[in-house]
Formats: sequence, structure tokens, C-alpha cells
Amino acid sequence: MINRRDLFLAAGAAAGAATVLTALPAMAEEAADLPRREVELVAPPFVHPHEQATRRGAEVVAFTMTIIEKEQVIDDDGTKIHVFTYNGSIPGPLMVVHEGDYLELTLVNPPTNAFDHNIDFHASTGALGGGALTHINPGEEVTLRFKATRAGVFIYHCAPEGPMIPWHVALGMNGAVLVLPRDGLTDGSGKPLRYDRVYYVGEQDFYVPRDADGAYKTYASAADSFVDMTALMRGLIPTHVVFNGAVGALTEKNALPAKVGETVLIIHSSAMRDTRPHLIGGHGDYVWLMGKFANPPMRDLETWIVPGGSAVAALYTFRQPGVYAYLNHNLIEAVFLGATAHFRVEGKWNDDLMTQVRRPGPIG
Amino acid sequence: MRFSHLGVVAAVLAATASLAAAAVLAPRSVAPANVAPESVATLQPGRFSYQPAGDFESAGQTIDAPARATQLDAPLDVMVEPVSQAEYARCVAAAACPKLKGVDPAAANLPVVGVSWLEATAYAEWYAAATGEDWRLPTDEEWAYAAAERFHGEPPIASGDDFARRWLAKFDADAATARQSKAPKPFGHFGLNALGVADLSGNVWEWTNSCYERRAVDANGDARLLTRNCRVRALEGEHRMFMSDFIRDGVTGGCSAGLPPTNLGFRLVRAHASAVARMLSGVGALLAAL
Ligand SMILES: [Cu+2]
Repeated sequence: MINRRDLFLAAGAAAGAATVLTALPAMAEEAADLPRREVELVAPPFVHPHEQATRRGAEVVAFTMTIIEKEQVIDDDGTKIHVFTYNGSIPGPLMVVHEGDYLELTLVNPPTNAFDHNIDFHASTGALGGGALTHINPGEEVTLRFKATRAGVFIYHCAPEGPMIPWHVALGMNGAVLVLPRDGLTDGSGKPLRYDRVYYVGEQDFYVPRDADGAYKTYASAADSFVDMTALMRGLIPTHVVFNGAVGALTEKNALPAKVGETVLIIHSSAMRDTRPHLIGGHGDYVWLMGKFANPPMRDLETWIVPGGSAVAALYTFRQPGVYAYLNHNLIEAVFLGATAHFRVEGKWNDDLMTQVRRPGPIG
Repeated sequence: MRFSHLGVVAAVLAATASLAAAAVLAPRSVAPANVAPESVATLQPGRFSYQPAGDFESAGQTIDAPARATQLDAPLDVMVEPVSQAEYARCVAAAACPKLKGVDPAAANLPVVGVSWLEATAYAEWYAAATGEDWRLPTDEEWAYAAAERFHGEPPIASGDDFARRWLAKFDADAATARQSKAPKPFGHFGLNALGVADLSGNVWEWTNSCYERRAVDANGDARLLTRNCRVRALEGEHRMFMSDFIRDGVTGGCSAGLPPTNLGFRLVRAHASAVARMLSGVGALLAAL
């Protein structure tokens, strides 16, 4: 019988093993001679400024993320859980580079944290996505650099060891990287595709244990929630499925603004569960279905799929003003569990696209 | 009819201005031993400006409900507080109301929440029979009159013919309204209004008897009824909305736009009678029970 403390000790031992791996012999790398650019990260749904297409040669793009363990309210009822975050947000910030660039991340685990963490970049090659080279205890930091060899959107997530992996990811430790083609996005036959705005939506499943009366339990610390929460996680049914860390994080006053005529790139990631985004009243004009830009985008989709463990990019030009719900079209998850965002779109109504020919009224 | 409409008024009268000192706190009513007596506030007849519940159109455009001067014709007793969990539990014990989750029979100081219109109506019928008094849910206009300066109604609709602009204006008004916490608050938490009625427009939205209506306003200002749906009733609180009669919890968790009510509860009203008449009616109920 393994108790909770043993699990944590096992995770600590894995951290020790990871340290040995840092002695790996390295192939010659080009990055040392390349220009280096530091980029300040921005909390989702927003994305740091970036070029869509670039004339610059390959460079090292350097980011810093601090891991923050904290309590967060995740629904309108005030349900509060201990979460683990990259840079304080769920999902972690979107990092944008171009194909052929080197993404360099300094990951900081402040001494105020209680747990060891790391990062596995799906965009990278080798060492468990960098997970084996980035394991840090509270009070440590590490810098990893990898070459962005494939264009697309890719998730990153924490992957410490064993049961810590799904638990840390279920507590919020996941985000995404956008690797743009150097010439920018195209429709697959050479036509450039550009966006006026980009939003990053991270879908997150939470598993909050309940007490005998059915009320959500609160815990003094994340460690105290581990046994109950992982037992609930084994049932695979989340209590919350939310966008950007909480029910309502992207609705009402947090609605995503846009204007008629603007083209919006929506990045949607889901670290564990499959999902199916849908824009009510709109479409996916161009959707890179598995999120990788070497493949041509699909056209005119009504709903698209995001396999758990990936991110997808969808491009849409708004043609009509009003409120759009952007949601997980498992409507049970959207309405009861929280997986909904709103776009608030200003502009002039187009009667040609839609008109109410006759108002609701008595039959006849 | 407890109200008479005096026609459409251009200027909106301040609801409270004509109501000053209209309320008299009545002594507790006589009630059979198994029913708790109620604190009531008596609303005196008076005039106020009221925008009816429902959707209104004029010349094919959605418009705000026209404000009309409205008269309360006869005194009306309204429960000072919403029906409590303990009171609702007595109706359950009498097998007249369905058992509900989260209702504490000992909570005489907390409103019953998570009740549908159907259950609120069942309670009203049971309570009226138990007391021999004509207790019932208020109409929307009675609720508005009792709420006085706590009445919110609906935000104005943006003018103009652009459907999306009106939609966004409504969306923005809802978004600007802070969400309230769901836990029911003890009676008195939200204070009394000018008429001595407690906890109006707090974190409990209250059922009314008014059905959803769609009306067309003609050039004379007459609002002709187009359709009525009584499976949907008006809810009043921090804002007005309509809700299907079987819904116990209007909070969805997201999706389509619109501010949901935090909790669903209710209070009852009855026609005001003199203390003597009330006593006789109480005695009558006791005799009937024997
Ligand atoms: Cu972690």
C-alpha cells in the first residue's frame, strides 16, 4: 500500500534521476551564434505581440515562466481549489515563435511552492519533450532550449512522475506553443491567411471531490486534496469543464471582443480530454484540424475536434454583429460544466445574410 | 382586478413618491397552531408608474414596455420576508409540497430557495387552506408596487432598428451586473425597503403569477395581446426575467448570454382585511378544521 507521502517521495526521486540526464552529450548546436530576443508573456486569452510572417532569419526567442501554486475560484458558486499554474494562469501563456527558431524557456519554481515541477513541450524533440531536463524543486530554476522544427500549435504540460502527471495537469499545468511558418499561414495552395486578432482558449477539466452532503470539499493544501481528487479522476468524469481556468472566465464582461470584418485566429488546447469547439452563429473558415500547418486547413467547418493532448487553430472572419457563444458542443459540458466563451462582435447587421421575415406572433 | 390602469404616461413617476408612508406594519395574523403566523406589511392603495412584464413591439420593432400609471385599488398584505425553509418544510410535512434538497426544517430565518413556480403555487394553496386566508403569489405589478424603490424591472432597450445593437446593449447591461453569492442569507440581510418589506432584490429572485405575454402597441398606446404562455412566469429581483414554471435553479453555468437568477424563492400576498374580519376568518378556519 502506497501512501501519499511515498508518492511524493517517489516524485522527488524522479527529480534526482532527471538531474543525471543533464549530463547527456550534446550535438553541436547552432543557437549560440543566433540573435537572441526576449519576449514578455501575456496571460491568456491574449497573446504576446508577434509577427505573423517574418523576413528575419532564425533566432533564439527567450521566455521566462514562474510556476505559481495558489488557490483559485473555479465557478460562480465560489468553489475554490488549489491549482498549479505556469505563470499564474490556466492555461499557461501561449508562446509564439517561427519554424526554425529556437524556443528558450527559463522555468522558475519559487521556494514558496511545495511541489517539484517540469515541462514537456509537444513541439520539441527528445528527452520526454524536455521533461527529463527541466525537473525542478521549489527554490530552483532551469533553462531549456529546443529547436522548433515543425509548424503548428502544440501543447506543453507538467509531467513530473507517475500519478503526479495527470494530477498536475488536472490542476492546471498546461499551455500551448504556436510555431508559425516563417511565411505565415496559408490556405494550403499559396494564398496567405492573416488574422486581426488571436485568442488562446485552454479547455480544462477539474475534478473536485464532494462531501457526504454533495457540497464541494475544500482542502488546507493541494497535498491534502491529492487522495480524494485522484480517486475521483479515476472515474473520468470531471465536475467542471471550463475555458481559461474558471466558469465564466471568457463570458459576459470577459467576452472576447471583435468587429465585423475582422479575422480572428482561435487557438484551442485540451491537455487530456477530447473536445469539439463550435462557434454558435459562425464557422471555422479555415481549421488546421490536428493543429499542424504543414497540412492544408479544412474549410467551412461547423464543429471541429481537438484530441486530448493537442491544440487546434481555427480562423474565422466575423460577418455579423452580436453575441456568439464559442463552446464545447457537448452541450452538457458547455452549459452545466462551464465550457463556454462569448465573442462580443460590433458592426452593422447584414440583412442579406439573415433577416427575421416575420416576428413571432399568433399562428395564422 | 386589484389594479386599474390609468393609461400610458409619458413621464415616469417615481414609484416611491406617491407611496410615502403607504405601508402599515400589521399585527400578526391569527393562524392555526400548525402554521406559523406571518409578519405582513400592508400596502395602501396608491398610484405608481409600471412597465408591464413581457415583450412589446410597435410598428414591427421591439420596444420597451410602455410605462403606465397604475393604481392599487385596495389594501394588500405582503409577507415582510420570503417564505422560510421551516415554513416550506411544514407544507412538506403536510404532504402538500414536494420535498426539496437543501431545505432545513429548523431554518426559520432563511428563505426557501430552489423552488419552482409549481412548488411555490402548491405552498400558496396549502397555506391559504391552512389559514383560511386568500394567500397567493403576487402578480408582477403587485410585486413591483411592494418592491417600491427596490424594483429594477428591465434595462431599457437601445433605440434604433438594429437588432444586434439592442442585443449587445442587453448583453452589456447583464455583464455589468455583479454576480451574487448563492448561499441564502438570514432574513433582514438585504434590509427593508421604504414600505417595510424585507430582502427585496437580494440574492433570491421571487416568483410571480404573471404569465409571459407578447403585446403589440398601437398608435393610441393600447397594448394588444398577441400571445400568452403560462408555462413561463415572471420572476422579479435584481432584474426581471421569465422562467419556465418547473425550473428550480436558473443558474446554468454558461452558454447562451443572459444573466441567470442566483436563487429562486417566493413570498405571498393576500387581500387586506380588518383585524376583526381576520380574526373571524381565522376562527372560521379553525371551525372548518374541526
Ligand atoms: Cu507540475
